Amino acid sequence: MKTTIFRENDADLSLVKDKVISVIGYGNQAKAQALNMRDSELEVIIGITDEKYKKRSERDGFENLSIAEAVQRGEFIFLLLPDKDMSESFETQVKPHFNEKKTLIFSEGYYLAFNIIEIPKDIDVLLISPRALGEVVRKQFINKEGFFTFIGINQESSLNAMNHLLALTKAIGGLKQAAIKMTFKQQSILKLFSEQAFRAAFNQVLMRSIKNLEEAGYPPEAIYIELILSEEMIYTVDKMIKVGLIKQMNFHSQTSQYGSLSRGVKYSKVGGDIEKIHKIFLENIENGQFSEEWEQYKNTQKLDIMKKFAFNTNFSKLEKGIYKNLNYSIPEIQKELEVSSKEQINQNQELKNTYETYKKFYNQF
Amino acid sequence: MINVKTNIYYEKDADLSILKNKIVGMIGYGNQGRSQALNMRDFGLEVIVGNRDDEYKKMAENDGFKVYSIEEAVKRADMLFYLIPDEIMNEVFEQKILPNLHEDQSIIFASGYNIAFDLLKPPEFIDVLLIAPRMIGIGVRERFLNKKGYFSFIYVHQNASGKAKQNLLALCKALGTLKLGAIEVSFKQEAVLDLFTEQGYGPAFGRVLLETMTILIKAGYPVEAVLIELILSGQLKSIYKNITEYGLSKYIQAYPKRTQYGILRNEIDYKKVAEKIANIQKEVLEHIASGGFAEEWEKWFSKVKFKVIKFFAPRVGFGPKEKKVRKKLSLPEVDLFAEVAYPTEEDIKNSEKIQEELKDFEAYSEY
Repeated sequence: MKTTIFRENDADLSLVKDKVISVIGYGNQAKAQALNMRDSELEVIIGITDEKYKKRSERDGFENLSIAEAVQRGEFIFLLLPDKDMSESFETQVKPHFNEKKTLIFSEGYYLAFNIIEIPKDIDVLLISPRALGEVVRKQFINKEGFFTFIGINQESSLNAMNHLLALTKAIGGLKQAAIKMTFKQQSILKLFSEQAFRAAFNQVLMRSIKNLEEAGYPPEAIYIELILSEEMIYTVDKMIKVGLIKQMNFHSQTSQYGSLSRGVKYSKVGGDIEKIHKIFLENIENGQFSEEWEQYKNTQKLDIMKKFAFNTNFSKLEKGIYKNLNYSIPEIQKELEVSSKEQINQNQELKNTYETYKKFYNQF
Repeated sequence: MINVKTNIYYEKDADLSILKNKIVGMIGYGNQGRSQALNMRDFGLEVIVGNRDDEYKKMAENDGFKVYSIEEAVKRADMLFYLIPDEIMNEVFEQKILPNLHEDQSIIFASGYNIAFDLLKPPEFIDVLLIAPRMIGIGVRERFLNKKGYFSFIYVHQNASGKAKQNLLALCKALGTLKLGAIEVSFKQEAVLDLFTEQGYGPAFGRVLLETMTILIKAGYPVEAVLIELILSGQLKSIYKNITEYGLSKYIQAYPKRTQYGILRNEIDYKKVAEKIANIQKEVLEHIASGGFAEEWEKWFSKVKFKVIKFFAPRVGFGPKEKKVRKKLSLPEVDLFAEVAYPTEEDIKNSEKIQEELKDFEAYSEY
């Protein structure tokens, strides 16, 4: 299938110039997108209720309204709310106030791809998903480097949906590098799969590498510096982006290149095993099983139970000791997890299974 | 668990006066050589450069250093930093360094490889030291200028003068590494850690990445989108940044709960594969530590094998696909060996201005 790619000369900004743009939420993505659109000379207002984020948008000089008011006033409504608030805010504060003249813009395909929220058929629904963190979306806009964006149309009732989509993407700075056309489902699956398949495997590989060296008697601090704290991997990834995966090898010594390439063949043995697991993960995501599972358990203690064991292994103690010895402090993002007593957990079969399985799995590390 | 205590050195452990009237000779002026020479000069040491007549010599002269032939620099300097590629190190040592060495000199390596595997044998009358910054050349300079410091692996392999340790620490201080910390790690340990990263960790990581992209491409997702999602988006970079900041065991907390759930849910399914990978890594590690790899790499046929693999790497599998995608996304073909430029004052000012605005992103969540 041919990939459709859009660039700046495909868009006409004047189509959205006199319209009011409402950005709902003011996290990093919302802030970056709102500032970029304002710098592109669009009229932007913010709909926000959270006090901390409201102050932030005031500091940036935006007009603040309640979510409901912002939805009423705006013609283009960017829904940039955190996952935990999305469904509820949508039902109570967004849905009652929109009509067929308004356009909704999501930056995540997830909610519509897996029917988490439902939208009447008579409005335009667009996807503008910058493939960069909010901070980078702002930075690359200021220094005119641009970033990649995934864009798409989920439903259109006006005849202008595509033109609007391109104009708004341009205003955010998302056409400077390139925007790739995609469905909501494709965007969502790509994101979920790369998180779940790649990171899960990657964590295991990195941890096993550290454990291997540690068991062979190398100083743990030196192992951490070599593999993580030297930032060599950040440098390598940077080179992957700049010159490509294959070509970046040339930045390393010949000894290094020979070592990686000749040993790389050994790992092709596990290629088939990984492929089998990946196939199941991908199917789970594509057929909606994952999102169903998450929606079912997101308000239970399941994740907390998993984390309780994942975060309290011998490995995590070793790591803590290393950081301490190197005078590196680890910022706590989350307070100590509190999960219910074993008796309470035992009353729910799913939670009980989770408890036993994860306790056993993480005990080995 | 930590059984042996690791020795870590900081600025208070070093006394720079021991280097008074000593001349530092920088043999080689690549990215590491240049940064290290500039740092030591800024710290007040007298630094000369020994380099053959090439581009790097010109660069050293432009930076204001006196540049001599390698032979001459070896005769003149007390502390010799030997910073040339591992592959030509032994030959240059035999021909240009060894004949000119005299007593009371120290030779400093930034890579443990040749000493660790007995490929290079320095005479007994000199000190042999290791100072291996765990940071790329440009970072060694940047973190000296902004006073953040960087980690290094350091070691005394041969102590003829009786003062090797004091000299080692004083040089480390002048290089700016003691600000963050220098870890005592032997030549052999440094070499094995380095090789294992390249041979045990790197390829396993690459395999996982490749398998992730392959299945998505096979399932019909646009190749461009797959490459953007996994690599060009900078996602991997931010994963590493988070791991560095929060530690590997807890960094997933930096992501939304749905992401955390997805990762923990699946990690368990990789158990068997991860065990297989760990077993391969173990083999690789043993082969490196026993000297098997170094021996193999010295043989002529390995050089031929290397040429063959290098020829095919960009031409089969993912290579050609990547090339096409990068072209389609208008990503420029980059000159690999273009000189790395240090940022100018104006660059730094501009980036500080942007950085000021971006500070506000630190304390808030993505959505």
